Amino acid sequence: MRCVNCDFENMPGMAICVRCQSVLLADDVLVAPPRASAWRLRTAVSRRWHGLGTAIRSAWDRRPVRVPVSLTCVHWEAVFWSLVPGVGHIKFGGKFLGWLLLTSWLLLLLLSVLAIGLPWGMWLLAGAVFVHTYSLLAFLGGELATYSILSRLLIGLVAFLMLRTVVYDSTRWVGRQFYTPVQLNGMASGELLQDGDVVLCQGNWTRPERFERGDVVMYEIRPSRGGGVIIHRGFNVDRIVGMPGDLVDVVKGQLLVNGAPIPDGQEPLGGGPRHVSQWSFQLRGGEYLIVPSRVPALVLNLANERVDLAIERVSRVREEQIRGRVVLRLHPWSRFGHIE
Amino acid sequence: MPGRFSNLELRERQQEQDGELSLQQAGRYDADDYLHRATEAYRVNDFEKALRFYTRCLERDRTIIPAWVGQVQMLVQLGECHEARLWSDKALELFRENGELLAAKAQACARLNDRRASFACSDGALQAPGSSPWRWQVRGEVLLAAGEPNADTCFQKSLAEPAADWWDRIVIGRIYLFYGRATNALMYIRSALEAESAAAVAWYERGRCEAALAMTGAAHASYTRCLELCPEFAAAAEAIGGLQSMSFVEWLTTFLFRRKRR
Repeated sequence: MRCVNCDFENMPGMAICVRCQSVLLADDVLVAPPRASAWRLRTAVSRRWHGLGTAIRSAWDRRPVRVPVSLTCVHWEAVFWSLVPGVGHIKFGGKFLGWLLLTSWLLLLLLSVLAIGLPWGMWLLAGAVFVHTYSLLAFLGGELATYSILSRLLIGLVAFLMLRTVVYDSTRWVGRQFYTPVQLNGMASGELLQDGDVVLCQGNWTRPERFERGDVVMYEIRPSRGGGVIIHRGFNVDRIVGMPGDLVDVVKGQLLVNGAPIPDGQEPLGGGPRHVSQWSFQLRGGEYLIVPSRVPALVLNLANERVDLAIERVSRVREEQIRGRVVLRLHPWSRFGHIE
Repeated sequence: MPGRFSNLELRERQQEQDGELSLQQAGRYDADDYLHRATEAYRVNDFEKALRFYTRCLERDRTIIPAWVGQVQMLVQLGECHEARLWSDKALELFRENGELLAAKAQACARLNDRRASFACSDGALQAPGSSPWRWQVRGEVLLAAGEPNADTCFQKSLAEPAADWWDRIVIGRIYLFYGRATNALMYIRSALEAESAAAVAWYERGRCEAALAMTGAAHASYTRCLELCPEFAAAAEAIGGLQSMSFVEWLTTFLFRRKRR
């Protein structure tokens, strides 16, 4: 009994080949193949379903027969040069792509700097990071091609996030320690600064030890409660009108510091404490008077004495609450300029 | 009930009986004859007929592995890849780890877009004892289906096998054409024609490639040449009809979206 599959000579009467386990006596085996059903809709649905399943499975699974990824095959020098997007391509082939990457990266970076502080500035920065990630991963392309599309997307996402965190966010953090861009939403009203403006404020490393009368500063409003008034945490931008130790009075709606009205050009951005009926207090050491331009509507519904108390509490700002001077108005570009 | 029982062997029984009778009368009524007739039918693109002959062959002798392989190939050519896969599994139960059957299964899996299984089967086929052009052709197809760049190397290896002939070039051309690489396919079909210019099927396949490349005039000429060589080549006659009824929009779409050789 010779096996037709492996040519092994089996003992007579054997039903199965002892070497390859093939059937030796197949006389009763059905030989008519199955055919596609005439129920075409069911067949079509079954095939689409199978196709979808296999497509998902094959996309999800890494392909089984592949050369294992070898990092020694990666052109590390090109990857190193690609730390500046496109330079790797320019030096090691693909000059057009390299210049395209470099130009688009610089353009996106420049636009994101110009749009600093605006919400869509983040998208421009994300675009620059994307270009950077692409230029780096392009040199790993030959290796990454052995992975499924999902794996490649995941690797790209991880690389994008790592690059963004390690390079761009850390650079941004350092930059913010010098100057912080802030969009004024509900903080300012007046000629100098308007709602929606983007300003550049001094950061932790450039903040002066002492501030001067007339400085426009960004400061923190600390939460407090008592006397029927609740103040929530927030930030505000306004001008310093009183220095530590100054005597502050409001007489007939006019703000007096040390008995004298505020000189021209040094008034609060909103014009003064319009809703205050009576004030008379002395600023303690390390305490500045910054009268907020905007008063929350909730405060206005209170009785007069509580309005006075609430605004006084917000206006007496400790030195450590001040984040820094507002030095530059970035947006809108039509009003770009230094803030005096 | 024409739809449901269209695949039953009622329609062409009578026609085939004539051939069978002649074989019986001549006293050469055996499995090899059916295998030969099946191969002939396959080479004129009559896959239904070829499938029936392969089945007859197996009815006479169930140990003829090329007939099992042929059945799976015909099912694939008829677009019934699910059935082909099922049938190859059954055949593999009988002939374990047979290289040709594994290759046939790999082709069915590749057409079903099951890359994992197709790679596994193709690996098994290449590791099995022996070698053949067919195994390398399927390997090439599996790589082509997976979008790998080395498919052509496998096809070249298949042609380097001692048993390779002009027919293998046709098979490779068909594979390329199935995956929309008409330019690559045309290259192999032309080389097949150089080896066997009297093969009607080669002219037919050339016509298909040319039609896929929007070379309508050339395709028409190829189909006509095919019909001159083999007037009963029904697929060529149908293809000429299709070319004549092709609208300008269809031609333009074909022209614009034809793929270059890679």
